[in-house]
Amino acid sequence: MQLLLESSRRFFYRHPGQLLLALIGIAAGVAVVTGVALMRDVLIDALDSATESLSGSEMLRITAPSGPLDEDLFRTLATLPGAPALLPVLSSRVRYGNRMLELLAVDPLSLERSSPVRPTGSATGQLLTQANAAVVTERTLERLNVDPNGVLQVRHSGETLNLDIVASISGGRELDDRIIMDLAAAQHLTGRQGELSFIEAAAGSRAWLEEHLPDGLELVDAEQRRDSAAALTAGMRANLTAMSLLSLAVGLFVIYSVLAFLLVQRRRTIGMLRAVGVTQGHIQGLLALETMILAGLGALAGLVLGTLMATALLELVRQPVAELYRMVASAGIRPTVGLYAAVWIMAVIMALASVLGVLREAQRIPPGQLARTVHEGNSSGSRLWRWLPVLLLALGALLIVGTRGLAPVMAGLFVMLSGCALLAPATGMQLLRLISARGDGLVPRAIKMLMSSRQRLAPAVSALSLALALSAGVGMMVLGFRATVDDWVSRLISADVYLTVSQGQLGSADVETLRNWPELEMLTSSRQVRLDDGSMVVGYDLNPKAWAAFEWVSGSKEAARPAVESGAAVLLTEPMARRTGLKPGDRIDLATPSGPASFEVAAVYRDYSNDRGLVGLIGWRFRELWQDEQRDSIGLYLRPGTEIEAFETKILDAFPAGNLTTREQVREQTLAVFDRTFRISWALAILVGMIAAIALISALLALGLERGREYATLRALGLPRRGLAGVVLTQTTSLAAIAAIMAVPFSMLIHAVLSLAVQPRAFGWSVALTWPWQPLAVIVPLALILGALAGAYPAWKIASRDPAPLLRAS
Amino acid sequence: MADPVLSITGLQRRFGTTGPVQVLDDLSLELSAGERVAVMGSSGSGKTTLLHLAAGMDTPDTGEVRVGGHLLSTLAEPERTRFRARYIGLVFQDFNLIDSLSVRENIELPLWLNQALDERRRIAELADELGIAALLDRLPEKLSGGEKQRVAIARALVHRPALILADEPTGSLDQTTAEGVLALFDRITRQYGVTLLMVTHNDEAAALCDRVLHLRHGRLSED
Repeated sequence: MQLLLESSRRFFYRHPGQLLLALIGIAAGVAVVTGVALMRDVLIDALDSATESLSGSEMLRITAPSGPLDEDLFRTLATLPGAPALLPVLSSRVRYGNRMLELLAVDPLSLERSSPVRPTGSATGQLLTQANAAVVTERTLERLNVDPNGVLQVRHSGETLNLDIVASISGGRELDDRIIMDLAAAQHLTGRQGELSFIEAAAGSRAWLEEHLPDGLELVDAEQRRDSAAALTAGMRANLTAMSLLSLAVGLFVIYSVLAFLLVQRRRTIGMLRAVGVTQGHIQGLLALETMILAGLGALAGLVLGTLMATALLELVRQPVAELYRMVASAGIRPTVGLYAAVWIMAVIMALASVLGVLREAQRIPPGQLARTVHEGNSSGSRLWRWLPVLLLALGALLIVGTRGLAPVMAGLFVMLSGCALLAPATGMQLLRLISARGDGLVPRAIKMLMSSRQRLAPAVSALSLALALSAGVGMMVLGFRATVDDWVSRLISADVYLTVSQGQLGSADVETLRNWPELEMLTSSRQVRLDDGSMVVGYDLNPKAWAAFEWVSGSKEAARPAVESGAAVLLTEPMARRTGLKPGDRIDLATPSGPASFEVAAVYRDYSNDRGLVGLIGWRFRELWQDEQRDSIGLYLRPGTEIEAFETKILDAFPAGNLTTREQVREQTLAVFDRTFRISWALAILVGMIAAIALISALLALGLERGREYATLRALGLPRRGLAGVVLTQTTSLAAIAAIMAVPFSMLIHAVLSLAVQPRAFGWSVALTWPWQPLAVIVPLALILGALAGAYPAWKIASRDPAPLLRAS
Repeated sequence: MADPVLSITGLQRRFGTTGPVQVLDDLSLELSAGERVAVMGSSGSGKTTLLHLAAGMDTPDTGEVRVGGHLLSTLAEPERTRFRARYIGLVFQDFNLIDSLSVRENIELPLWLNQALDERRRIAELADELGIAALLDRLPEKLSGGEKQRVAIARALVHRPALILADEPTGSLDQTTAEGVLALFDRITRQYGVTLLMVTHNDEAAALCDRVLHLRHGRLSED
């Protein structure tokens, strides 16, 4: 075995390019899986990590079921005999340029007493005495490109806040993108006087707190908060995981292709080794060991790459996560040995499984076999093998249609894609057979020559086909979804302009003032509060036009309006109805500041603004229960003929801090959020495509080597270099073409499953199934270009060889 | 007197850069139309190199190769390749059939390369002559060694080349099969009036030819 290993080492030493190709293939697949896994963990930790780093982990959190806590609660609790140490926290989201940051306001003295994170020098004093003093980590300063001791200008509720950075703090990456301020200063700056987001208490104080907490408040431990964050981001994380596993699957095709290629190159050596008495077991053991070493080294490189990639991927999701879930994800990933070990072991095992076919092929090399060419023959395998793709497609369809959860639908999609992966080369080659049966030119002849290597090329065709299908399928889903959202937002936004204010709040008095303006035909207004589980309650004051803008999913439109306006019933968005399983006629209980309230569900309407769901109730009832007279925005319907510029001037005179947003601007902002949300999907799809290109190149190199003697014969018979290059390019482009052709139905399948099954189950909303053609119009020419480019080097290499040495060698 | 079909003058060919080996040394040879010449020699004597130079697949260090009066060294590589396709037929020891093409398509290759597919009827004629008519739609992997070499002979003849170059045509065959193939080769080359340069180890193969030359120390001699 020692001699075999030495022979193997020398072979790789002499063929560094192939070694590199194999390492790149596995490293790229593992990198995507690692990157996404690390990023997923950040999403789960995002809600808690910053506060934990200030107050310590495993803390209990006192929260109100909806809305903020009253600061008086803290004072009351803190002064009770036997009270545990309590840390009052106010959390607000502020925007710095395009970045969402969390303004975390605490009592600096509490920090000094109990926190592992302490401001340096005189920072505590400055935080307490200076109105706009704030501290951030050094990394955050670097990321935001702000000078230490400089001014950080952020936006909150449309207002600009100038924060003086008085010191930097040490601390983990979980504090990145957080601004820490004194509680009172932050309350004043953000106009949230008397409010707290939550109070942290030591884990051991549960009994005391349960005894002394007023009714209606909740005590949440670290585990529950983590579960909540996990549930909040479940859909997004599931999608990302699926994409990363697909990347690894495509990466395994590369491993297969490269090892098959290496086997072709060493067929003669193996034949000779077998002839001198080396057993099949030794050969298989050697190849398995090579695979393990290659996969192990490639996976190690992938772990490093993935760790670097995770930060870049995280940047792509941080803003959508902040916009969709109001979570400021930490800027730093937190790698663990366990995660690395799990990914590494999975990669090595999957690599070994993927090369079982190569090992079987090696077993079949007879002693003394000196030819590189493999006669694949016409064996079409057992009946089961032939029907396997159909069985997999049917099983996948069954999992998707016959189950309700997200995990089975993802599993179903993978099973179906496995069926597609098997179907692509077989069906594609049949197509090529049909093409090659017609005509006498170079193309049919070149294609016919390709046929005998169909099994060797099958993994590359599968990988490329799947990668193209995935890119196009995701693209179709995103474009279809975007069109749906565009249609929804255009229909829903019925007012001409929307009024918000950058300072202070809009209240009922403002609504009454505006109602009397002669320029305005009618108004709508809304106020929303976020619940702990990420869902929202919205108080609506709607006019007939706004009512007409709702798109109903279920329930009677005519019956819903009077029921809701009576205050006895509510509307649910589709994600809320799907998540809770409620339907019109059922009852929903809401925890409100005035105590629990029960409502009948009047109807369910389409909504894409929040995947946790939204409960809509009539404004007067909302104000009554939440004791909140404020409005987030007022929709203004202008009378025909109203001069918009004059009206704007009048609004700004009446509301100096007012902002007017037109219908078109709202639409653009909505679609911008949408586009940012799906950047990660595009990025992963492109990564998968790049890995597939590596698979294609390695397969083509194998083809070139395996068919070297045939190519030399053609040259000897009189086929010019250019003609031979044409043959090779035709073959590579044909392979890419069949991959692209097969990718078309596969991408439609992926699009349909993503739109009709994954989106509803991951996010709760249904997406109208449309068939955007643009991704297909991109992937087909892209595949042909890729095929031509991937074939260019082998074509040049093969065509530039003189036939004589090749014929002599054969 | 007509020009010789193959004329080789003062051919020299060395291989290797450090301590180069002189494989062919001032070698000269002429084959007139219809003449069949066998070149014998030990392994490594340069027989295959001679064939490759005659086919224009390799270029000499010095000396000239003329086929049908055309000086190959004056032709650029693409022209030489086209010339080979038109004027030369090749028979290899290992048959070198294209495994993915049927017997018919293999024989058809030279016609395709010469854009003479309208001459396809010759395939059937040759297949009849060589006893492979029933095999035309099979793939090479389904054929025996003797059948493969008969297909290779048909491929070498189908476009009616001026010169056939055969490299150990029976080298991969057992004795009985080799005898059958040689008999067929003898008959068909006579029938078609082919000019043949064959390199071989096999005395029986050489005996079919009009002249037998021996390649020693890079030169040909007639014993």
